[in-house]
Amino acid sequence: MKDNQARLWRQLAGLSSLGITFAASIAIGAAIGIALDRWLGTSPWLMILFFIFGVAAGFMNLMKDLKHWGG
Amino acid sequence: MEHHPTVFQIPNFLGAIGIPGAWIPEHIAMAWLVMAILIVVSYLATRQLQAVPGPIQNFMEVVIETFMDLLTQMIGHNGKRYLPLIGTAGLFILVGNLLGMFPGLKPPTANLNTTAALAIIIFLSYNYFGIREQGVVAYLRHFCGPILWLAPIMFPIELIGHLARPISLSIRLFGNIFGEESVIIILLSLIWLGIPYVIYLGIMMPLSLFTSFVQAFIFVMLSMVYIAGAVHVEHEEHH
Repeated sequence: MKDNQARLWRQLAGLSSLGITFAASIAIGAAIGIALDRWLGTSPWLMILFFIFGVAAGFMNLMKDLKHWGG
Repeated sequence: MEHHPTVFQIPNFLGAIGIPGAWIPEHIAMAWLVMAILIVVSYLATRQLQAVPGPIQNFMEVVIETFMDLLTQMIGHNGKRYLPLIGTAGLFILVGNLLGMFPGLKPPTANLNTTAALAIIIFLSYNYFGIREQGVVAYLRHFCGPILWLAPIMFPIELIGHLARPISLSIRLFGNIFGEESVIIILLSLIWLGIPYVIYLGIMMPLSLFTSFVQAFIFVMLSMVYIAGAVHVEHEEHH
């Protein structure tokens, strides 16, 4: 019972970070893309590419966290 | 929001090296206060260690053992190596959050600069631990994914995924504590209405106590997960 509850708390803490990590991944991707665009002058292509990378990273983190915390 | 001075202020003695303002910024003064509290308590607890511990030593032993248990559960039998980092971060955040309970003091964690500093330390540390345990090449190879020709795509994705971690760590802690602090300040500014006092004592105080512990716990636990992931990635592939 006590073990179960500790596990539940850990799960809650871990799962509570799903949303913010997802949003942060996309923001970081877009930020890297914009920075690279400014540097190389290829606006807007790298921004679009890294935005997609950011979304992919967000989903990958989501899957990883779910695998780690869910069930 | 208008300025609410705290009761604990330090005059700016660093003006000579170019730090502006007449006072040390609030969140830094509060962070120093937390450090002072931690140093004094640790000193009192370890001044004369005894086999039959006194109250302070007893208390600190319980706290440290809680951290040790968590570390062993999350990282494994090697987890105790990371006690200095995780324990310090956890105690700093916990005491900092709890400062918000006292009128006239502000939690240092209600400022993004403090939480970002903590998160960046955790980020650099877990990468360093990963490199120390596995070597640079093996650690970086793990960023490239299992399939070789996918590596150019996987690398930026993994990099972004890792960079998102300190952002989410710092923004979560900052947002929770800052929001709670703002609600308390607004409630206290309405105190002449009478009812907010009941809300403050009955709802906000227990809630802020709860948030303080939960946020410190989440921060510590996620750092442990990150360290565990960096230190033994190899184990996951074997089973």
